Amino acid sequence: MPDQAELLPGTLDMLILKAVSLGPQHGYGILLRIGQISGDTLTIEQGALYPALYRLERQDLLTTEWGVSDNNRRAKFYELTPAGAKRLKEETQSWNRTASAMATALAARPQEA
Amino acid sequence: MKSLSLLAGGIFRRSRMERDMADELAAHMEHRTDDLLRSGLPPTEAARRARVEFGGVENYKESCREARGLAWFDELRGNLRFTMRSLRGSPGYAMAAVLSLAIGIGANLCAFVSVNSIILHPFPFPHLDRIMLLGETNAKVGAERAPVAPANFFDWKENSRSFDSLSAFRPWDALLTGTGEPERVSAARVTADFLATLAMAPAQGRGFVERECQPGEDGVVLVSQAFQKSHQVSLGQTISLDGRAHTVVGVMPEEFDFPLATEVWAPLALSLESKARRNTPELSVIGRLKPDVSVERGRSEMAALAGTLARRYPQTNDGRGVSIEPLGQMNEISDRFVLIIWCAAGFVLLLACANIGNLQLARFTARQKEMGLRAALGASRFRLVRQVLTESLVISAAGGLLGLFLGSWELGIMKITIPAEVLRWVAGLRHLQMNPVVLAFGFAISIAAGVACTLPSIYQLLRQRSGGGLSESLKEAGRGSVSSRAGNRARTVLVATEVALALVLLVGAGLMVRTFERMLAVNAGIDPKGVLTLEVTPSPNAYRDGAQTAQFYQRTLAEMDTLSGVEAAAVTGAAGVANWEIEGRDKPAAGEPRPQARAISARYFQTMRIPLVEGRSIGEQDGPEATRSVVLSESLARYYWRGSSSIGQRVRLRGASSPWLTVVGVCGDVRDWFGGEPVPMAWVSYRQEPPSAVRFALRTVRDPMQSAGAARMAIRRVDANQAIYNVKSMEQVLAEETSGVRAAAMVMSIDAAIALLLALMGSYSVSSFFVAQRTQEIGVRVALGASPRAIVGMVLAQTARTSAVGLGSGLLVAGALTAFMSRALYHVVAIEPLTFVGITAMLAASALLAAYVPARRAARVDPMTALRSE
Repeated sequence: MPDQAELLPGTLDMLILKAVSLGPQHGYGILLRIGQISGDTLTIEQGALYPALYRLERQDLLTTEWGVSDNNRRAKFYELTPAGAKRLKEETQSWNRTASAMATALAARPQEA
Repeated sequence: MKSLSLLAGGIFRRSRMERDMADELAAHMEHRTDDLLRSGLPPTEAARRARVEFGGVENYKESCREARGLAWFDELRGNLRFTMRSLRGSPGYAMAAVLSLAIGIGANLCAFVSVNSIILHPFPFPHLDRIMLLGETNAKVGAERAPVAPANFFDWKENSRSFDSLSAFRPWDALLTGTGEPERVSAARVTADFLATLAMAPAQGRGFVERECQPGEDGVVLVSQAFQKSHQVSLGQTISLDGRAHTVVGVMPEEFDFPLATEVWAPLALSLESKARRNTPELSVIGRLKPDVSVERGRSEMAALAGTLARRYPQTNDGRGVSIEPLGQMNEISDRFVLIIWCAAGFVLLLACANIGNLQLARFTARQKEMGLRAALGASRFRLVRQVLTESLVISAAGGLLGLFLGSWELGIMKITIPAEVLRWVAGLRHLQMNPVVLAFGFAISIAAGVACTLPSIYQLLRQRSGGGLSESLKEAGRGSVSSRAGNRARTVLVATEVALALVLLVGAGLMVRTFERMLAVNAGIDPKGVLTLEVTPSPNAYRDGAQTAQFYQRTLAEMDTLSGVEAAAVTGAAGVANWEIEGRDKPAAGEPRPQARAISARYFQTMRIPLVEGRSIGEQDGPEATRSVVLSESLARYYWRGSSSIGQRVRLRGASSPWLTVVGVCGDVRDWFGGEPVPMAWVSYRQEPPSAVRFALRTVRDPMQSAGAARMAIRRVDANQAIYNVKSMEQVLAEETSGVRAAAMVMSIDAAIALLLALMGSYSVSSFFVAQRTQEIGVRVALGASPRAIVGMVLAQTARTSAVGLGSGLLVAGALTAFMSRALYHVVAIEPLTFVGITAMLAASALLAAYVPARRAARVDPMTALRSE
């Protein structure tokens, strides 16, 4: 098993939005997709996913619909709303800014200070 | 129905969401199991692993519900279930709390019904705040709100710009005949636009038209619904009033009651000659202000108008002005009584809240361990607050519901006990009833009371949190030690407050009762015992002038004198005073006493037992041909003839237009029942100034009502066509006058008694709690040799300290209240130190008594048991 990284607070919502933005997906599928797109470094407690999904749905960032999964099982599918897409974009930009700032800061050497 | 279906929909939706959530989580588990199966695990192991990996399903479900925003519903349901369980566990507490709240809320509802009907909606007219009562002022004779002269009224009506309309009316004692016994009817003559000014319309038929306000055309009437029912009249029928036929053209709606107690309305038809009169106070005037005109602007415009009239007609109008008062605010005195009673009811509710708060605090302290445990298990402090609040609100809802029944019941009793006469004369009193406004008020105070009850517990909860924390209380409660200081202080403050409130109420009630007693006592000016009264208003059609009317009275008195069991018979009626003057002196200045005048027969003083101070009384010799004579009341004579005798002096009652009257005697003062002040009086002979309406008074040897039939017959023998009304004993007449105050005193006394009971309950429960809490400590003290007396003393001392604080602050408030009541009700209430001292002592003694029982219990504590109780 590759090294596991701790999930930073507040990043779970972002990951879910990202995962759903790649296409409508049910809860378990979202879990797998997050694992997949993060190269299996970010894992999420399975149960903890659902309160986050309900919260995002309540904020109108996601909509749901019952459908049938690849396994031929009934499942609830989540899809991004326009508001969700907008939020993902903003969050991504903000994250990128922070991340690059952090990277620069942490790469500083003694003589540059 | 609609809200029911909404609720059902909500619950249905909720259960669908629950199912949805369960399905979704199950689907997740199935997918995972599929994956695990594919990785080669045996089916049972795969399913087990999937469940283990997922974690606590119920836990996550709860988080999901919270995330979805429906958590409060579940919590509320849980809280309610918990509350029900815990209240069932302590039914005594639940009953005491619900009952005291119900009493408080019931008293408030009842008081608010009065406030709503008497102060807020005394009349049913739309935009009541714009309806004004207008009167004439006359600086020359000191008149402040006199009726208006017709010519002035018509000038106002034509020239004023502030009013949408101005209407006049005049009370009329009509004699109704042709329907059995002749009967007196309270009627009013009104201008054609009278109903339009009040924005009211008949319930059936039509109102009056302008044409009908002319002499000869005015044979039409509107009748009240009550009159229609009691006399079985229908539209188009004619009734005979003062010997003239009047056609019923309309029926007024049930709620229409203006002028108060009027049964029949007829057009006001003034002759051209009377329309031109400028110096006779004849008409009452109402006006509807235009929507954008303030009362002040109306006043200044009318003042300017009066000034113009005074310049144009200096002889009649010099010194005359206009008074304008909102009609809805004319109930001044009764308004104040109602407000004071409402305050008293509010105090009772506050007391009930303090008591429940106290009980709850005690329960709360006992439950500290439970609360600590719940906190330790992760309940947030606000969740605990919500739990306590839920409990209070359940109690207050039950209390409110029960209070509604108590209030309706109390209202029913009140309506029965108010005498018909009072009911007729206080606007709005007739329509006391529960309505949506009152119910909304009841709901609001129930909620407010529920929240108020919780405040002490919440205070303590939050204090604890900021202090040692709830986990601390776990340890504390485990050790069974004294509860936190904050709790004790809160309890002490509560009991002190209760004692203070009870004191204020007791003082208020005491003052009301003393006032009422004094009102009964001050009527000493006359002796009402054994006196029968009957009223007659001879019809002007049958008795065209004063001489004929006086003869009717004289013959009736002669008939009455022959009755057995009658010691003396007399007659009295109002005589007008417009302009009081004394011969050879300047006109009296503003503020100097001006007497009321009454015409009486020879033996009136004897009948009423009014003592003669000097000279002679009005006698048989004061006939129409004799010198005009007058008897003055003592205080009036003393004011104007200090030190010298008034006998032989001459006075006038209506200025130059009236004859000089020679003072022949001075009699004892009669006193105003309300304030107890002597009323300045001038008594004249009924044969020299025949009144148009009279009251016969008969002093009887037995119960006065036994002579009522014979007295009626005596009048009938003289004239069978006159209506006889208000046949009552004089005592009853006086009792009706004071009945409003009596009712107020009674309600205040009941409130005070409840308050005393609640305060004692508070004292008792706190002392009991204090003793229970300190059982161990007391055990140690006893073990170390403290005597039972010392223990009792210790407990009593604590109660005494608390009560002293309460009594001290209560006395301050009560002092302020007394000052307020004296001001609000004029000189009704005098500050009586004895009342204060007595009530304070009584309350202190009762508080100590309430503490004595637990104190004795404490003194009997067995040290071994107490120490082992840990």
